[in-house]
Amino acid sequence: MLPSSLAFISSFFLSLLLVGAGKRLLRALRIVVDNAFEELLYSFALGVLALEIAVSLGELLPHMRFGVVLAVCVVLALGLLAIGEVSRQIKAVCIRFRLLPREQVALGLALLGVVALEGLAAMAPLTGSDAMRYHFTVPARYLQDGFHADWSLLHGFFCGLGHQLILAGLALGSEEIAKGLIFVGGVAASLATLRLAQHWVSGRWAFAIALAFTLTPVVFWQTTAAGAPDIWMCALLPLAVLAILAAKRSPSAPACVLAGILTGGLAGAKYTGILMAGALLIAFVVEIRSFRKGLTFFAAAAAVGFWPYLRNFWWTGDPIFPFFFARRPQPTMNLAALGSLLKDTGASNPHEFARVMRFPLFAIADHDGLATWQFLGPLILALAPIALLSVRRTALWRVTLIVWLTVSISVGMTSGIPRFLLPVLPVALASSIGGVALFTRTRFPLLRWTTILTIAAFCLAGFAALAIYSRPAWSVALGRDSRDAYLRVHAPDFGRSQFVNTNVMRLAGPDRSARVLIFYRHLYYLRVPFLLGDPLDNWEMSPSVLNSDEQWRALFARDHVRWVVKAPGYPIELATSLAHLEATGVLKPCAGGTVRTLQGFRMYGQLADEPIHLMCVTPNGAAGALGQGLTGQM
Amino acid sequence: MTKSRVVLRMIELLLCIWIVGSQVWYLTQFSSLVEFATRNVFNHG
Repeated sequence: MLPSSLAFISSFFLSLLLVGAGKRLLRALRIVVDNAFEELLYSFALGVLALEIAVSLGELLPHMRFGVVLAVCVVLALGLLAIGEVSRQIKAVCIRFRLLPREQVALGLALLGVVALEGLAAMAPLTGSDAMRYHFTVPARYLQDGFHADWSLLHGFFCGLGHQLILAGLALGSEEIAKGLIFVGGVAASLATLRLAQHWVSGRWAFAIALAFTLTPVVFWQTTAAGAPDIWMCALLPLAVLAILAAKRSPSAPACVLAGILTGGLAGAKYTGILMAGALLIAFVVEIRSFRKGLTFFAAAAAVGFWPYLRNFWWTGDPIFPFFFARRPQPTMNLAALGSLLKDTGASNPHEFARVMRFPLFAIADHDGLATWQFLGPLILALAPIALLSVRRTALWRVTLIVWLTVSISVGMTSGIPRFLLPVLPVALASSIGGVALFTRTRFPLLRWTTILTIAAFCLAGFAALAIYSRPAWSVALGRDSRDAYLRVHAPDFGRSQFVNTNVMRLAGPDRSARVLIFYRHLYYLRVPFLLGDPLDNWEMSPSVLNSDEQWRALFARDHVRWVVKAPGYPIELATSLAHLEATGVLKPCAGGTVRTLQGFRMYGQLADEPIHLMCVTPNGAAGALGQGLTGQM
Repeated sequence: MTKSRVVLRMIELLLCIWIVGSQVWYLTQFSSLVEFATRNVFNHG
């Protein structure tokens, strides 16, 4: 059986156990849910959040891998206790689904089919750019080197609760399980969208909304190839909205705790999650209007979501590193890295009023017009203004509008990156399409048909895009293409990493701790000890400090660097000083060749041959600090 | 047809035009993407 098939099956059973664990927690917290489907979704989310928190505790143990595996086992054992009950509940939901009118069953099966195709694509080897840069690389490094502040890969400080799923999968020895746990987040998000949409319109409209969400390019990219856990936020946000509405109907303390837990999971997922948690808190306070219940909600959210912020505070003194850090810059800091991090998160981008006001309508693209990773679709822009005509003074509309507008405007004002709107897409889509469906229920048949055709066209275009985008991933997942051939074409820097792995293993001899200095971004497929040399992502690589041979020699000795990769050149910020090291003989070529690498963005698919050199640090270069045993190797 | 019904029909027509027009405008924001996708899909054939 293919590893991808095994991983697919493992992810399914893991998910069942996580639903079981969540169900036990729901019962322990005395939370009563009046809808079986909604209860299953809450259970799944609670099970996953329990796993994330358990792994956060497990990684603190001295033997980290053991601690994480133990945490996974504890949560899954908890899930095993409720597996019978979960199976019965799923069976009951399936029976109810089969009894629906034929067209709804057809739309539901179409949704399941799309999700299955996405699952297959998710089982292809990892190729996501940011995943290879840090989403998977940072947890893998923790497992290898222990849980510590890694100043040589600054993006690691952006890791949130969702990254604990990747850590859990990698600790179990399977990249596929890690990807499977991300993929099931996409499934949960689609089903949460379906459930939320049913609050506006039941029947085929709700299935169409879920289908449109699932076929949105950013959604299927995040569910399949991106290798980022952000897609779980798309499940947590609509579920938190549903939990607030449930708390409004039955304002008991357990209902407030459930809404708070889901909100906390969102806050702990990513920095922008704080904005979303804030919006949910406002909606909760507006609806519930009780200081005590508001406090309960806040305490539950803080108890779940505080972990990544505590970690960053412990390591850097800044819970939202580097944003407070950047407010008091020191000359000794790597200001280039600081500036790059702020640019990467969008914090230093201009946030003009006119641009911010386009965020609630999702009517934003990047300046070059080629940013598929920002393609959230035109449905909100086309339908939301019409849907507003059906707004009523109900809790559903109030909560939705508060969350949708607060999140979208605050994302526009703080980061300005359209993709960060993704978690609020289920809410915006459900209310936009649902609002138009309500508005045209008894009148405006032409408008209703135009809306139906628009959604159908969007779904067809989305499916075509999914098929074109995922075709190579399906081929490799089904075993038709080899893993290496797929990675050479689709994984940036894979050829470079293979060259480095082969030559460093050959040159290292018995010294397995010697490191190679790398300047390219995509590090996941490196299988030898490395130090990232990118001055924009490694605090130590400050161009203002590394300006002399002595500074470089000290760095090589301190970090046990024996090789430097030149592929094809050095970063512009460090090029002069490294060229000087070559001229003075501190760096000498000891392996060279040509590798085929992707040029620019992956989607261009342009491959070109590039020279690559492995430069050895000479004993003189390391000032003799590498020791006699090593000099003999070089 | 009464005057009010004509006005309603006009409003409905305008809303339909908005739905189609706004989507066309949105796609022009991703003009390079559309051009890129068209080139790739049809050139591969």
